[in-house]
Amino acid sequence: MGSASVKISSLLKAERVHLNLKAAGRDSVLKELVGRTGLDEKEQKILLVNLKQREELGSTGIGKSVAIPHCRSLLLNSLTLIVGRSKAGVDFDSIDKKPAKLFFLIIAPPHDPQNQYLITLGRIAQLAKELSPADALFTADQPAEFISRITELEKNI
Amino acid sequence: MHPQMELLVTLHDLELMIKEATEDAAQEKAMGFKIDSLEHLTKAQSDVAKQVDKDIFSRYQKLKARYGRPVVPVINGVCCGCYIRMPTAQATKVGKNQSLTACGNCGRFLYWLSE
Repeated sequence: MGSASVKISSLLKAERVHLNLKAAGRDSVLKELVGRTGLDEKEQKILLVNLKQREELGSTGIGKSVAIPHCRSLLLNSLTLIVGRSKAGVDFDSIDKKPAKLFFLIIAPPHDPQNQYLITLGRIAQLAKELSPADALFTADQPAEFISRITELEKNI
Repeated sequence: MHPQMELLVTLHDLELMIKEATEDAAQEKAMGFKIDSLEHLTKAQSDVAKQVDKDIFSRYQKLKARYGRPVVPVINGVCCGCYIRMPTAQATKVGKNQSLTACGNCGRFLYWLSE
């Protein structure tokens, strides 16, 4: 399967786009995003531990106000993408030292024969590089508007 | 979830992270991610491993040596390690992750996903 077949927009549903995150720190952002996965409390705890470990390995804040926390986990049976946005921004130890505002949480199951995980990570990272600070992703009021802008941006990557 | 299963899932996911941070580091770095030292991950792995019951950990290690992945999910009643359908009595039991279960065919530890 080629990278063109993995669309970020196809993984996103309105209920997975949260445009007003309340969290103000790295760990609380991760907790808030994990809270939207539909996993039970214990499963969320395990996932959170692993995501924090991944951040210790090196921040997933890739600059341009975007962070892409990610890991694989036994707890989910399909590639899951949750998007969150903090209008104020959160210190995520990003590569450019600027606060992160857009968070793309990606969780993939261990069994992923087409390696959609790495392909999706790559596509989001590529999309982030195209963003300007005034992009509609930072201002969209509704999830549908946000997803529509992602679809538009994807045409160019 | 059974406390030992909680530890096994955490351990499994950490080991997978270490494996991928080693094998896919170049790809992730090319995407713009930072990959620093694995030291804290191996320490976390060791800390979790120490909390697992000795006999269970020994079985986990044997399964890992044999299959690579010692814990597998059950999806739609099928073991995702050997693809054998679970017996109805096991598949329909309530609170399946409250006890530590293994596949009757391949022996892998089973994690039952919500369906």
